[in-house]
Amino acid sequence: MQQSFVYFSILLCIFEIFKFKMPGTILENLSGRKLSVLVTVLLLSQLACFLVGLISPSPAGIQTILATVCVDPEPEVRDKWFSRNCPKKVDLRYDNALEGISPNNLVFVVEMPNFQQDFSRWQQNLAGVLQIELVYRSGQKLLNPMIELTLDARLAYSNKVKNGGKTPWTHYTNAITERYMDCIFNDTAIENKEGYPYDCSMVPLFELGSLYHDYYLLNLRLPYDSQKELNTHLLKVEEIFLHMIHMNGGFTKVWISLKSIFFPIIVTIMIWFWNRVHLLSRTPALLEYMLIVLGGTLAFLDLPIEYLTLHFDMPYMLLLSDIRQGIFYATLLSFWLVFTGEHMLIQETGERNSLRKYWKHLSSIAVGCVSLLIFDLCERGMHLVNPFSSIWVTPLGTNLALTFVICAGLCAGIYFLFLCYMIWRVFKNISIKRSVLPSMTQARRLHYEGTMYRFTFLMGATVVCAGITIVSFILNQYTQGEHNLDDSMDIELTSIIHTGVYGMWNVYICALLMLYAPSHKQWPSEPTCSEGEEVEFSRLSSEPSTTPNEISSLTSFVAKANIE
Amino acid sequence: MKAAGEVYPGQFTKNLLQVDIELDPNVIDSIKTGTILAFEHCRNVFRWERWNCPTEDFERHKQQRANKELAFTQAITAAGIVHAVTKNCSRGEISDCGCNSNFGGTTNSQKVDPPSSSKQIELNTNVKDKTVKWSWGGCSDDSTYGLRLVRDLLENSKENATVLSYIEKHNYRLGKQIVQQAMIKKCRCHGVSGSCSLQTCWMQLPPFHIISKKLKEKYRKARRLISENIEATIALGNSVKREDRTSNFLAPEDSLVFLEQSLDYCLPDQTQNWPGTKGRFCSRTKSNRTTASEKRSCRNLCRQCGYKVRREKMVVRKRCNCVFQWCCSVKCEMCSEIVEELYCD
Repeated sequence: MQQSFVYFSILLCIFEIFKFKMPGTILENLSGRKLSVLVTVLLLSQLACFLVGLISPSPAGIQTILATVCVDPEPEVRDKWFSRNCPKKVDLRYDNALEGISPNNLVFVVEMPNFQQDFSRWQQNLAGVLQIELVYRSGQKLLNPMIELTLDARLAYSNKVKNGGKTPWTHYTNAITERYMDCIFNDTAIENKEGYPYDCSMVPLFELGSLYHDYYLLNLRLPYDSQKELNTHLLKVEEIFLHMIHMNGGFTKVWISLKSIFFPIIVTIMIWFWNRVHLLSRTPALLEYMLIVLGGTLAFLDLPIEYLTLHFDMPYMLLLSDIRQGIFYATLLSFWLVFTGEHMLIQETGERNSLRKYWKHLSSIAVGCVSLLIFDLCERGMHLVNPFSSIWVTPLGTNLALTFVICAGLCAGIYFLFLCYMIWRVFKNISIKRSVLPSMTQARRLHYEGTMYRFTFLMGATVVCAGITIVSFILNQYTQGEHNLDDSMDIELTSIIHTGVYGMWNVYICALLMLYAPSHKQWPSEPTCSEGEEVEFSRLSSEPSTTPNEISSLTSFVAKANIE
Repeated sequence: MKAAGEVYPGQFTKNLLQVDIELDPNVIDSIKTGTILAFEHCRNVFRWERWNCPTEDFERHKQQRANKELAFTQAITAAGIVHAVTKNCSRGEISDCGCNSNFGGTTNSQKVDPPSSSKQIELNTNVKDKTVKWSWGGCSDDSTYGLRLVRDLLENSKENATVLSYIEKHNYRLGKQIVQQAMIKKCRCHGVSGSCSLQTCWMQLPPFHIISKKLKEKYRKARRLISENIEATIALGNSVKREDRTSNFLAPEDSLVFLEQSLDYCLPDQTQNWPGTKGRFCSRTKSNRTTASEKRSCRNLCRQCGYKVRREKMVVRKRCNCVFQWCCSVKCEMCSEIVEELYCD
């Protein structure tokens, strides 16, 4: 028993060197004082990110516009635009005004934005949601209908001219699309129901990925055709509102500034990290590859290409930013998995440092991300072609979209089960190892302690970051849209949360890159490995890559010893 | 919704706006619309009550008594104005809405606004500042303008501090507050891939019948105040800021207040121009949709007032089985129905 334990210790000492091609990281070798200074700096920059949110307005703004109803005497002639001051307007509330008018004559006109404003390119993108006010008319059956709408929507744009005034409306896009609207009449106890509104669900209409022009104009028609069954179930429409959601310029400015600050920092840290890895006379370890890739995706996310939208029309920005975020999250999730796997403290096979080992685990991320990507391409990708399209409107599209989303959700579930299982195993191994720590030689103890410290440090930091993210977004859902008449206190919790959380992940990754970079300090194991070990150690460490068979035999021995 | 032959309170608006602020004609129009809206809904809610919102009560005249009904009228008018102004804001008719609280454009309006640093800045904005503000942080909700208008026009008007104006302002504020409380929150997610990582919410005006219903509830629970107490408070309050006075314990924050007991409204009253309930219709309709006030209407309107309930069988031709065809045609059948009309005699 004593004999085998000695062997076991010798072998473990050797095995450590192969297993962790990242022998010592800065984190382990940093003195407590330096570490506390670094952590303080990181926390301060984190605090700064939250504070930046204070000056920012809420991320997105909304304007509700009531459509002006114009009468088009010649609906057949299509290439003309109705603006708010069209020659003949009509009020749908008064029946007698509607005599002799057919549905095809009616044009709902929405000029965006309202109140003689114009869009700024800082406002980035625009989404339009329709709210159609249906009213009850006496004699009608009280139903809670689901109404199929056919919308003939056309968008035009116009720009400011330098000496005041606007350019004429120019066609931007048009489409005939279908939407569904659920309506309920939930107040049956009113004496006189005539003219009372139904409570109808909102209808998403369009999404523009870029806000390049100064003014937009929506001309919306609800064509009626009894043969093609277009809008045959539509009840009395009294008013149509368009809720127009845009990003706030102030928020975009703050956001881009954050990105512009983080981008050079992260790139510098990456270069420093890679130099450091290359200073070592060995090939980089898997974790080091993962770290640099993670840094790279963050740098890609931080790259402030939004500046370009100020000069170029880039309708694909929404899609691009989705993809950028997707890549980053996928890499982050993969990193956690690989990190946990590499700290398992048990060498299962002789195979080292390869992503192939993790293919089972990583495939859940891959499948999830690909299905989300397909979904995103179907929804936001399609918006590039037709801003009025939506995958959710047709039953087939809804099923497809749900399939992709559910698939992604399942993958996320599987991933987290995997991750939790692996983390549980690591902690189990750590507690086993911790009990035998005092009996180990100093070298091995240092390795193990280092590994455990590294792992628990990252776990701690990750759990804190993920926790803060989840809590803040839940908090955000609850505090959204609180109405405030006297808006003298203009603190926007939403933007604080967004800048804060974004800053947090940046700080997190910077910290990872800095703390998990290989250390230059010599770990004290070489001189302190006890005599018998030293011989073995020096022999093997000088030519590690040439003895794969030996390693596998050694590790199998380790496994045996472990059981003992 | 406008029924022909109905007399609308036009005078009210004129009297209401005895404030020396030059208003945008569109704002004045909205105020009129709001008053009409309030009136129509008042009619509807009080259809089976003894007092049924006569047009005269919506006109402000000197001999009005500060009773429960007046309190309701004031509150619902304020609510109607907020509602109508907000709607016209979204229509784009009132140009100062949304990004600016400056509705007067004259020096008067600046005085009306209670001084606060952010407001002062807002008031001094010119078009350029407005554009900067809009592109930086978007515009505030449309309702903000309507709420401020009511606050500054009705609540903070510079009329001499009498007991009556105290009561009046309180009720206006309550009407406004009811609208604010009844706002419906709507949200839309537009984060990554349309997820709710980024969500934008806004407050939407509720249909007005929700507001009138809530106000009727307040009418039932209205509090009577004692005139002398208020006088004393006002005398004290002259040295105190205006805002503090409204938060006085005398007028409970969330109830309508009045001074005088109402008439019983059974008999005609010449001074109040009240015709009495004789000749009014009542209803004995029983279904699960019938409101409590309709159920007890015959007792309330007729028998308790000493009148008898008379029946009259009538053949009523009604529109029925209507088929609506978007947008502008309605095909209805005409059904004849024998209806038993009940009225007080």
